[in-house]
Amino acid sequence: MKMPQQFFINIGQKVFYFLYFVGGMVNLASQTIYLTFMPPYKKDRIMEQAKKAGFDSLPIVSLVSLFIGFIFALQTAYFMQRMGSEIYIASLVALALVRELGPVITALVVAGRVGAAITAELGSMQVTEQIDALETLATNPIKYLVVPRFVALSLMLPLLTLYADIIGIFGSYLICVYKLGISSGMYIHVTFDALLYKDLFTGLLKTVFFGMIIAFVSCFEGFNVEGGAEGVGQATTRSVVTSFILIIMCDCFFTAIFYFLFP
Amino acid sequence: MIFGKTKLELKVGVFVFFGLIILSIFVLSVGKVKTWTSGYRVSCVFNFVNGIKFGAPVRFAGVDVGEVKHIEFFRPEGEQKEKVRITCFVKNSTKIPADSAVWVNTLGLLGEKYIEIMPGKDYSNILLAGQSLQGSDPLAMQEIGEMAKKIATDLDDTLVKIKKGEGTVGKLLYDESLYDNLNAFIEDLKKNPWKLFYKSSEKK
Amino acid sequence: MMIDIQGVSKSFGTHKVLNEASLKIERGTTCVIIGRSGCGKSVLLKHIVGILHPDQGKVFVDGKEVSCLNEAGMNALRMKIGMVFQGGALFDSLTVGENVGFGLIEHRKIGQRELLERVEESLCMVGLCGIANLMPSELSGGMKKRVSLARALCIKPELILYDEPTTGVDPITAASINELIKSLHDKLQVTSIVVTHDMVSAYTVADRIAMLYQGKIIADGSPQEIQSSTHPVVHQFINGLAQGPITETLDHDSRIKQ
Repeated sequence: MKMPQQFFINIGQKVFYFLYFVGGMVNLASQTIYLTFMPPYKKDRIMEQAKKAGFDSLPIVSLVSLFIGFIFALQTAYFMQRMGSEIYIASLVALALVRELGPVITALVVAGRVGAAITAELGSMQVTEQIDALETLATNPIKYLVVPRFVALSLMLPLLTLYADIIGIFGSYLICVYKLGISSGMYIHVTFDALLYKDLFTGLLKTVFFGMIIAFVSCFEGFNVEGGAEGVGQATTRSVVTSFILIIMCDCFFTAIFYFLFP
Repeated sequence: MIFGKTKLELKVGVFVFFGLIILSIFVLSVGKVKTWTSGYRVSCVFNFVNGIKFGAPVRFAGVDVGEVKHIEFFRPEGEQKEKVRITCFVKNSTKIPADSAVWVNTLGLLGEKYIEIMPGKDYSNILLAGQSLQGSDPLAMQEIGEMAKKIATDLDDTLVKIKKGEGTVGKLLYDESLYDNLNAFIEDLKKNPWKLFYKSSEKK
Repeated sequence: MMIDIQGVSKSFGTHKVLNEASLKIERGTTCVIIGRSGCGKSVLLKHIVGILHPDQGKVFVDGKEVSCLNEAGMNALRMKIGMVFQGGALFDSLTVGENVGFGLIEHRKIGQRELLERVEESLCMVGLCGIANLMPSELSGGMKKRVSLARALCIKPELILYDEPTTGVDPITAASINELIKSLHDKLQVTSIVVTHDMVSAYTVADRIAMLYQGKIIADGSPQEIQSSTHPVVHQFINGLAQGPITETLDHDSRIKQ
């Protein structure tokens, strides 16, 4: 008897939470962007977050993109050898990495590593009333906590992506030169011959927005933690999942825009 | 940190520095015709350009020397038909004789379109910036197809005629009277070889 | 600093935590707000510093309505208020010294030497000299509370809010914290509001005691008046009885839910 009723109530609640999330994100984003440009500017906190987001993420991003380079070279080699055009592996890898794989993989790794850490940190600060304490010390938590993370993530992600691109290309270079017998100079030439400025530009521009998404989602989830340690855990999961979904959606959106704007 | 500095700034500095180095490697290596290379513009006039695009390469004697910068319609004075003017940017070191031939070529059968310039012989008269070349029109795929069809039809007709024994070749192949005549002639010659040396009295 | 809470109501979701609570606190007094755990005492405190805004009613601090202040006014007000949180709420990424000096570092242009002096002075006031370079994770619960108090003191506030300062610490530490609250009040003439359900602490430090029950201030008076109160709820609470109107209402509520 009650089943259909409960079903609609559930849907209604989901819609309600979704709208709450959208509104909260917009609110957080607008306040953060406003406060980013308001003095005082505290460079120390930005540096600290930049180290956490950039320098500390470098090993894992390098490792992942190196293996992506290996895998991509081998997978394309499977087909390209049938066609007898192994040299185009270099162009394919370069384009795929610079336009798509580099930015997305970096963003996903950073969302999993840095985004989760931010949510857990802010979440436990919320649970232990540290956020309230900040406010009573006349410090805006958004200015103090979100702005440095926002600035650091949106500046560091493009740089990390550059590392990921070059290391991925290097991985594929190793496979092509030492396993498939393509000459080293030829590989490098074909790689950079295939790339255009717009490939690099669109790839890097996307990551600025990915960085913003990670910062906003993880801070938002962190601020909205309820219910102690368990709540922190749930919020961290939600933060990573939401970041992943939004990054992929945003990527699709940008790919479409760039496809039509810069054909 | 307020009480004592850490190595934070050093780490961020190293990270950003190498990131910027990678960026400059990409920026310097990517891009084929460097935008800061000096060069000049020449234009080529075509009736039909077969879908050439902005940025398509320009090859002079088979070497990449520039790219297409601008494509526009214009109507030469005293003519009814619109023509296409393609402005090409070429490097300064390229010297194009004014009698060079220009056409739109294709890499492979369906590949990328590019502007092919075949150098002429008149190196005393070199093209200056802003001057133009008259392009020969590329053949559209459709035209090539039609031409091939026409050739095939003609060939077909000829073959049919040959088969029927019509025309010189047809008669040569299918009319046996020539063969018979030749045979009779040779047999006659075998019997009377003196006929080769016989001079008709009439000619005397 | 004078505080005037006029008919404040606040709900979280469907749960009404404060229901037209009214309370007036004079300058220089120590007021203890008692009540059961989770009855909204901390919520009331957070209204005074403007972390929470009332759904209805008004909160005046020093004659200014808190929820109507702009950002600069709010910051100016908060720089005169020190708050001691229940669990200490120390920033665990900063050292003890940075925690204590936080308000000064963020808001006052102050020299490094003077800053260190102020930090050390505040720490010594709570009896914790020379721990400025430890991290909060290295401290015990009682020490955290005292560091939190030092942090509140460091900005030289005119009003100090204590959220359950003696909960979860051993009786000796609790007694020393009570002494601290009293001596601060006597020495610095600050206005204090203490939220607690520890009656020993309440009798020790209070000039006045107010009881919060079901979102309302149901009793308000000197410790003697409260002690001799005939109000059944107050009577049950201060004497810690298992039987009485508070528990009966709860039983009644749970019966309705079933």
